[in-house]
Amino acid sequence: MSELFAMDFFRNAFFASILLGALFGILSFFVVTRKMAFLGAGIAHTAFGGVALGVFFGVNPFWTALIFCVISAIAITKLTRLGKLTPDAGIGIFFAFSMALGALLIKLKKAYTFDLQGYLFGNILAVTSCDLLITGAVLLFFLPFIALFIHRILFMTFDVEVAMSSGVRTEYLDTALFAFLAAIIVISMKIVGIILVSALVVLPASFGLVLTKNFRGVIAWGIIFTLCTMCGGLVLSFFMDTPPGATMVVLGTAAYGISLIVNALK
Amino acid sequence: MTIMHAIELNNVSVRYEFDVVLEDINLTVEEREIVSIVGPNGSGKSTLLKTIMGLKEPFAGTIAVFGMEPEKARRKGSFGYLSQQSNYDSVFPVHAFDVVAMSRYAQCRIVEKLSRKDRSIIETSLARVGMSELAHRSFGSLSGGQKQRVLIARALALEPKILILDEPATGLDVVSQDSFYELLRQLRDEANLTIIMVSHDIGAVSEIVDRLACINRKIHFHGKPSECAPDEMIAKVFGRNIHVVRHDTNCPTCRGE
Ligand SMILES: Nc1ncnc2c1ncn2[C@@H]1O[C@H](COP(=O)(O)OP(=O)(O)OP(=O)(O)O)[C@@H](O)[C@H]1O
Ligand SMILES: [Mg+2]
Repeated sequence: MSELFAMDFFRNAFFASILLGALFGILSFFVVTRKMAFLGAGIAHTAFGGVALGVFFGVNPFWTALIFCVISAIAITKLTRLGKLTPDAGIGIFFAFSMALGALLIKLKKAYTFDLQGYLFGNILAVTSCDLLITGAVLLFFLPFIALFIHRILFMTFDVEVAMSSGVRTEYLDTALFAFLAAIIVISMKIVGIILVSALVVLPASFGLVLTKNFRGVIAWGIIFTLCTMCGGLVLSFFMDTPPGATMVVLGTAAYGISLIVNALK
Repeated sequence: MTIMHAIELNNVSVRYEFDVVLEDINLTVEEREIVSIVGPNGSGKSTLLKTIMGLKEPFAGTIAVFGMEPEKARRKGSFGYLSQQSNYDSVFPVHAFDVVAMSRYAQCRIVEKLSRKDRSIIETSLARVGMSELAHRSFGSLSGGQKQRVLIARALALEPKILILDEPATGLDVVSQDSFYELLRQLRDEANLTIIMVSHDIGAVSEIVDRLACINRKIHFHGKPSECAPDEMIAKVFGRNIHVVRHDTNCPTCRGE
């Protein structure tokens, strides 16, 4: 074990797992209780269009993806709030459009060969200190945001109209929450890939909800679950010589499945 | 200086898309008044309540709540609102206590922290609707009527100046309804609350309300229940062929005796 941590790339991957574990453990709660699982996956796919934009215009794809996703997430929620569109239809349209846009742009920019494998599963073993820094910075903003506003976000999630009538600034909270959602997804996509991101937005809170019926417990279990699956999956992948991202998804889903079975037998 | 009304609507009209659902509404409600809004389904009662709170923008007219814009009144926690919505997520992971606490957190400035006073307000509100024992039950596991009581407690816990109740009696049994109306009267007398509620049960509410507002897109009557020629009124608002069930609270069968 200790020889694993002697390696830079492994240490970085381990730190990344811890940071992402904390981020998704919390984020997942809001995604699941607001029934936005599809939005999480949708944004991850939308990022593809953002990445392609960056590649096409020759700027760092990370930033174009980030901006593109934050704008899309906010646009989708605004449209659905206006009642013009159901959320799943809105996400479906955005998602298909940006995937197609991405494919188009990448084809137009002939020289570029797209790393589909990396896009799907990321490469946690190639995490740089810069990635860690950015992820850490997001966590540094996300934690106080949640700590200050969790009950008001909960109120807004539970029933938005009464939250508004009681004085909660729902429009700001909503926008902030979606901006965080998009930022966290884009950052983690590069590290763990789109498949694991789609799993991480739903599995932690779903697991927590099996174990307890109170939001504090659900969030706490979500964090524990994510930390264990990510760090566990990483170590396991090293010994089994399997791709880390895929190992984490299989491990997490298995853990969730076991929790369901144990709960049903109780 | 003119007298400040609790609520004042001047020539308010509201539409959804191109459907005008409220037209030229003039309504004033005084402090400490209990007003009941009646009208058939789809007549715009819920929309009127949302308009008063500024949740729905009118396309014409003005609204003042204690002389303020509705939005400002909302920020100050002036409205304790019970909405008509009943499709709450049944697995939402909160206890009854947490639901009532939402009102207290809503008024926190930056840091969300319950003071001892906040806790006692939450407990009093739960006690007022007889839900103290079930405070630590999961909200989703409560019965429909129990949920309704918790939601009423949440509206009370805001310590609002105005209670806005959209069909509050829904799901309450007859005995609970009686004590609920009694509670409203008590709140008005002790805490100077102004209360607006939508009700379909004209018979039951007429005992406690100061004024009735009968609406069907327009306001058809606004005045004391005793001044309202009920049958004529009902015919005008609901249409002749609609049979309105009048509920007699003194009826022994209704009480299950
Ligand atoms: N979100 C909405 N979008 C479009 N139309 C709406 C919306 N909400 C209400 N309406 C329409 O406005 C009218 C008034 O609705 P409202 O909910 O205010 O009626 P109500 O008097 O509360 O009825 P009920 O007794 O059934 O609760 C109805 O014709 C309804 O179809
Ligand atoms: Mg209604």
